[in-house]
Amino acid sequence: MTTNITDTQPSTNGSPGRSSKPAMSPATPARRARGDGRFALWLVLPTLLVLAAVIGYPVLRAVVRSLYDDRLGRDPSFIGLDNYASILFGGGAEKFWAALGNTLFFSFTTVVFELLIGMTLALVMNRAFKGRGIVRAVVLVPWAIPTAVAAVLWKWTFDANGIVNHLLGSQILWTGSEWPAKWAIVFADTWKTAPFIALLVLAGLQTISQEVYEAARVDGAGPIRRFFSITLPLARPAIVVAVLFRLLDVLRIYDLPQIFTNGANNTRTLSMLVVEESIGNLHVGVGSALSTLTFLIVFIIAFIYIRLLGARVMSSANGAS
Amino acid sequence: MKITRILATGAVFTVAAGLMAGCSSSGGGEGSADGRGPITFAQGKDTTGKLQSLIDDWNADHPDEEVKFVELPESADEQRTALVQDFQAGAGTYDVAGLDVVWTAEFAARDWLVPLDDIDTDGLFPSTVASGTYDGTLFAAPYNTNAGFLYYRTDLVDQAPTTWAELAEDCEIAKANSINCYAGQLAQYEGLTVNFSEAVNSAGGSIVDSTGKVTLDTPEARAGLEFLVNGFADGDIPAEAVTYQEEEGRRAFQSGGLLFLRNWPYVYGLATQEGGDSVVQDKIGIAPIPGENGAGASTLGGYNLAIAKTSDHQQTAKDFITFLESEDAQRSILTDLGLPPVRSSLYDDSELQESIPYLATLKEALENAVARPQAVSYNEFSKTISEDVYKALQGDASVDETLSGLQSKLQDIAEGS
Repeated sequence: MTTNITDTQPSTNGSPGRSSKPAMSPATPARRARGDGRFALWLVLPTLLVLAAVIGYPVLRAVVRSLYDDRLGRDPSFIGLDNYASILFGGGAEKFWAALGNTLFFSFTTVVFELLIGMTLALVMNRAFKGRGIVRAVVLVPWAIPTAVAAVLWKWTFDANGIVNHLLGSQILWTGSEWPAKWAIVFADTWKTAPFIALLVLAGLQTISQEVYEAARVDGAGPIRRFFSITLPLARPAIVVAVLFRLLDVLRIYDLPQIFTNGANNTRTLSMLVVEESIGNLHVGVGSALSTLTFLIVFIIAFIYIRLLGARVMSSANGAS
Repeated sequence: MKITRILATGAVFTVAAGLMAGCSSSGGGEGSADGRGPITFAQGKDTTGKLQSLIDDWNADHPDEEVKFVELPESADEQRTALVQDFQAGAGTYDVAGLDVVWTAEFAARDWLVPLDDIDTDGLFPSTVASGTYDGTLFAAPYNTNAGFLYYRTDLVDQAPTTWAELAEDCEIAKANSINCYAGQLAQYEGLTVNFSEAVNSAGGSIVDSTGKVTLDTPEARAGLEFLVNGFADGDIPAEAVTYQEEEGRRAFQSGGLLFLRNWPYVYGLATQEGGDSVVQDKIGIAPIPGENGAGASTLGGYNLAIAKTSDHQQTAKDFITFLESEDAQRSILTDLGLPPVRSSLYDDSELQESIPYLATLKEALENAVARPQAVSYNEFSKTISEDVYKALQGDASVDETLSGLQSKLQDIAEGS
C-alpha cells in the first residue's frame, strides 16, 4: 500500500517539470522530450511488470475472488456483491463495524500521541547539546524492536501481576477488560512508533536555516512565536508525510492487538478480521471482500487526509501548474 | 505522458490476466491407493530432536520407502495454515501429515484425506480414535494424545476434590491461607473452548451430540457454564484468571498463589523441577479433573496422522502410520519425545509408571476424556464459543443469554458448512 502512495509522488513532482519545458523552447527539444519519455518507459517497464505481478495481480485477484462464495466441497460460484452485503449489513455486520471502529480509534489516538511526542523528541534532538548522538540512538531503540517482540514485552509488563500494576499499586486487568486493553495497546504502539515520527520530523527541522531564526529573533519574535511562525510551517511537509506514513501503517494494525489480547475485549481490528476470515475460517471470498473494503477505507482516509492537510504541500511541489 | 500511462496500464492488465489464467488451471490429481515408494511426513516442530531417530529406524528397514521428515512451525495455527495451503492447492508436497485432533472434520469434509479403515485401532484409547473419525469413518489415526489434570497443593489439602461441590468446599482452605483457589485457561482463545467443553462434559452434557446437533440448551450445559461463571462471582476463581493461558496459570500455581490448577501434563515436570523457580516443587499432587457428580471428563488434546489424497505412495504411508502406532514406537514417543502415547497398554507398564509418576493418573483421565466437537468449521465454531463464554465469565452476559445465543449461532455454523 505504501508503495502505491510513494509511487504517485515522483510522478506528480515530475510532470510539471516536463510539461513546462516545451513551453519555454520550441520544436526540437519537444520531440526530444517525447523521445525521452518513450526511453524512460522502456527503462521503467521491468519495474512496472514486477509491480503488476506482485501488487496488481494479488489486488485484482482478491477483488475478483470477493465476488465468489465459499461453499464447501465444490467450486466457488459467482454471487455478485453478496459477500459485501453480508459484511456491511448482514451476519458479519456487527463484527465488521466493531473492527472498523477499533481500527479508527487506534489510528486516531496513536497518531495524535505519536505526533505530539515525536515532535517533542525531534525538537530536543535538533538542539545542539552534549550527548546528542547518544540521545538520538536511544530514542530509536523502540523503533528497532520488531513489533511482535515489543507486543510480548508489553504483554508481560501489563500482566495482572506485572510491573505496571506494581508501580501504580493497582489491580487493573490490562488484557482482561475493554478500555484498559485499548489504552494499553495505544500506549505500546505510541512507545514503539513515536521515534519514527521524531526521525522524519527531525529531518525536516534540519533543513530550516538557522538564519531565519536569527532574523526572527532580531525582529523581536519570542520562542513561541518562532515555533508557530517558522518551525511549524517550514517543517510542515515533513510532518505531513510522517503522519501519512503512520496513518497508512496503523490502519493495518495487526500484530500488537493480536498478541496482546487475541482480539478479546473488543480490540479486534480490520486486519485481524481479514486474517481470521480468510485463513482461520477458510472463507476466502468473505476474506477477500473484507480486504478489499480495508483497502478502500485506507485509500479514502489517505485521500481525504492529503486533500485536507497535504493540499498546500502537494501544490507547492507542483508549482504554478 | 498519456501514452505512457495507457501503455503502463495495458502492461499491468496483460500480466495480471496472464497470471490469472495460469493460476486457475492448477489443482492436483488423485494419488495412488496401493503405491509404494518414498514419502514425506509433515509434523509440527519436534523440539526433542528424537522423532528423526524414530524415522531413521523405519528408513533402515525400508530402503526403498524412505520417509522424509518435514518440520512445520511450532504453533498449531501456523501448522494448519501450511497444511491448508498445500492441500488446497493440491500440491501434494506432504504424504503423511500430523493433524491436531480438532482438524479432522475440516480436512476430511474438504475431501483432502484418504479413509483409513484398514488401520488397526485395537488397543488405542477409544476417545483418541473418535477424535480422528469423521462421519463414521477413520480419517486420521491417533498418534499422541493429551488430557488435563487437576494440580493441587498436597500441603494444604489431603485429598483432591472429585466433585465441584468438594472443590468449592476446599476453597475455604485457600481463603484461610489467603491464596486464590482455582484457575484454568480462561482467556479468550482456544484454551477457553477446551475448558468450557470440559465443564459441560463434566456435568454430563455435550456441545454437539452424535447426530451433529448442538446441545447447549440443556441443564447439563447450564451446570457446566455455571461452574465457571459462579466461580468468578464467588471469588473461587480469581478475576485475573480471564487473562490466563497455560503459562500464566502455571506461573501463578508455581509461585504458590493458587490452590488448584487445571492444566496439561507438561506442568508436572516444570513445577516439580528441583532448582526451578517453583516454590511448591515437593508439594504438588495430581488428580483427574472434578465433575458435577464425580470424576470430570477432560478434553482431549494431541495429534493424529492422516494421508493426503494426492499421495502417490499411500500404501507406504499406511504402513508408516501402522509403524508409528506399534507398541515400540509409541513407547519411544513417551520416553524420548515426552508425549502421551495413544496405546493404553503402555500406561500399565510398571517400569514406565515408576519413571513417569503421572502415568496412572493420565490413564484415568484419558479413559474419561471426550474429544472436542467435530465441526467442519471448527475454527469458527471454537472462536464463537470462546468469545461468548468469555463475555459470560466477565459478567457481561447472563448464563441463559450466553447459552441460547451460542445454541443458535453454533447450529447455524454447523448447518452452514
